[in-house]
Amino acid sequence: MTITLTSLDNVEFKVDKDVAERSILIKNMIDDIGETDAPIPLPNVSSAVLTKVIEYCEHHRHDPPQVQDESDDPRKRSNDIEEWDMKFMQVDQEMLFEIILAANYLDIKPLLDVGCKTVANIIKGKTPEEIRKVFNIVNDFTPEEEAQIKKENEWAEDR
Amino acid sequence: MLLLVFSYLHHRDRRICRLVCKRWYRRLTPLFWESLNIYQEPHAASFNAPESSLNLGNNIHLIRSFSTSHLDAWKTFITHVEVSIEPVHLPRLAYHSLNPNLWDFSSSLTMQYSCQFYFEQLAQLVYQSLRWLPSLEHLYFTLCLPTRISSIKNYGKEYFDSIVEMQPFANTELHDSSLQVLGIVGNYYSAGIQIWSPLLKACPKLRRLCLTRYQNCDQYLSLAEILQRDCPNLCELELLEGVDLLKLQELDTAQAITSCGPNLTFLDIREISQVGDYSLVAILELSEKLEHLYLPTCVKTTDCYLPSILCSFRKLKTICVDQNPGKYIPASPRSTYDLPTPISAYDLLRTNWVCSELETFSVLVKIPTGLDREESNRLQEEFFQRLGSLHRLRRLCQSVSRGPTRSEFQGYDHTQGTFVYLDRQTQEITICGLDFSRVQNLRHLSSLTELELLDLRSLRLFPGLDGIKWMGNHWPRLNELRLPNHVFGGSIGINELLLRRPKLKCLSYYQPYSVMTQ
Repeated sequence: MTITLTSLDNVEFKVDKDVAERSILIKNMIDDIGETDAPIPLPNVSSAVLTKVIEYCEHHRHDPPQVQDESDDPRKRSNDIEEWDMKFMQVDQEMLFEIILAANYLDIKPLLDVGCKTVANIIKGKTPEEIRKVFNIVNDFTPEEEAQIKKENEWAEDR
Repeated sequence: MLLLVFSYLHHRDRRICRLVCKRWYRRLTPLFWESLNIYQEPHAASFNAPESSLNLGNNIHLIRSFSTSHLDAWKTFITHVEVSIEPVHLPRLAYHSLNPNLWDFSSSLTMQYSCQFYFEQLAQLVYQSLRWLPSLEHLYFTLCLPTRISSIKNYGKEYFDSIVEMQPFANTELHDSSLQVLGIVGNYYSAGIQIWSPLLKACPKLRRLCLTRYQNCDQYLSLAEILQRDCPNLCELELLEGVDLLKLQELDTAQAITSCGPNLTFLDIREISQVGDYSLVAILELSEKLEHLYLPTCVKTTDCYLPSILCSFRKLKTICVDQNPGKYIPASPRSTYDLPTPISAYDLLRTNWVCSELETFSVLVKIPTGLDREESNRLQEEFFQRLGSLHRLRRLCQSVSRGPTRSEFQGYDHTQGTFVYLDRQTQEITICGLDFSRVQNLRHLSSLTELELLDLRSLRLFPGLDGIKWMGNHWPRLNELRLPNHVFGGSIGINELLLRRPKLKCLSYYQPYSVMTQ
């Protein structure tokens, strides 16, 4: 059975039900309203982003459901991204954030995780100034505040 | 989303990210402290390092794991330590002590150890801390014995006599400690004050002392003797629970308490069981230098003590009739201990207030019922005018309640924003809203830095931009505003307020008195 999804810019996508149900949001919708031919509107996702998201879901359509392990090490690892996912995430920064936002909205936990890991990898090893440059962030600290935080950081150095 | 990204970073990168911008800094601060390893040893828990201007104390609730080895380099900066051996919270000690999850004493605190063992352990911890931290100024220690002492033979009074003989604190080479604040807190039967005598002797700079469960006159007289001899600088006394000053015959005890420090400027008896008018007046009359007074919520009196304080003590800077303003501990649904006794506005207004130095004023006022609307309004107007005339006020925690006659004040229901009364005869619960807006009378309080308003209707003055402008004009120094939870969900314009005054701290988690509902 196929499901029709409508993007923000009114493009229709026909996808298999099991692919669409990688999104918990859509799965819940289908569970709630029953199987229907009516298109499901996704007013927060553009067609460009939706194309990418569907590509991800199709590739991962046979993945076993993720087991939530809350007792996991709180310091999660970001270097365990699959090769396909890594390639998939090689997009410009704007698209990367759009995908993360869409994954959050559509409730696709593995995609959200991969997106966040990718961002974490971008941050890793950079200086604050480099990070600001990459993400286009304005430094809004006064020099005193900055010195204070540096002091705290220094104090909390891993030894 | 940011948090999720940060959760994949290691501590080193998180530290770097804190420096990127304010938003990231705010988001990362909880994670930052959480993963910080500071102590493993259970003998130190909160400290200030003024030289580094690092205030760990503010973040203590965020810290989950401790390890001590990192601290040696910092120990000279540490001035503030809390030692704790306590499996459970005492009512008010929750903010002295720590997150109970930090370490698990409850399992080690079983009755397989004798009471002597715990005192020995405590003495060791305390002396270790003092030796290890030569510049320490502030030490609170808590010893909570496993269970209800009175019910166990080995922890009863006779047993404590043997502790007094044992003198666990006598064994010290410590002299001239720099300690200024000492808290001796516990749930045990009042062991003789002599136990602590060697410790007090080693602290000649002591300025503030906090004690629990010292009950009778004799004990306070021996304490007074020790303090006058060894701690001449003592001027602040905090007595947590245990004393009962309700009856007339407790007058001697009240006098003995005041003799502990002829120079007392600060007296906090919020947690003692009960106080009667006479004892209170005795304390006040004997402590001429008293400036800061914290009274328990359960003053069983004829409502006359507060008016008489207000009309006779010119030097008072603090009057606080409150459990613990701004830091209410979420009480269990059935708990009633933190209900304050409301004081009748009539009584309060009966006398002239001479406390013109007053800087902190925290009191729950009741507007008597059965008044017609006009009279009730007049009373409220006058009360707020009086408040408005206390020009030096910096901290004002004000609540006004008005209930039906023959009813008992039950508390404040923060889900509805109303005061709740229980009719003693019919056992019916009445809910009373308030309808006045007298805050305009507080327009001259330009020193106000902290305001707590439990009463909703007076808040209705503040919605929207006019109210915010008004606050900015009249209370330029206001930096903390405490409001009942639900106000934040309403149309009060709190977000607006925060946008315009980013330095203002609005506390929404503030939990007013809980209410028993049947």
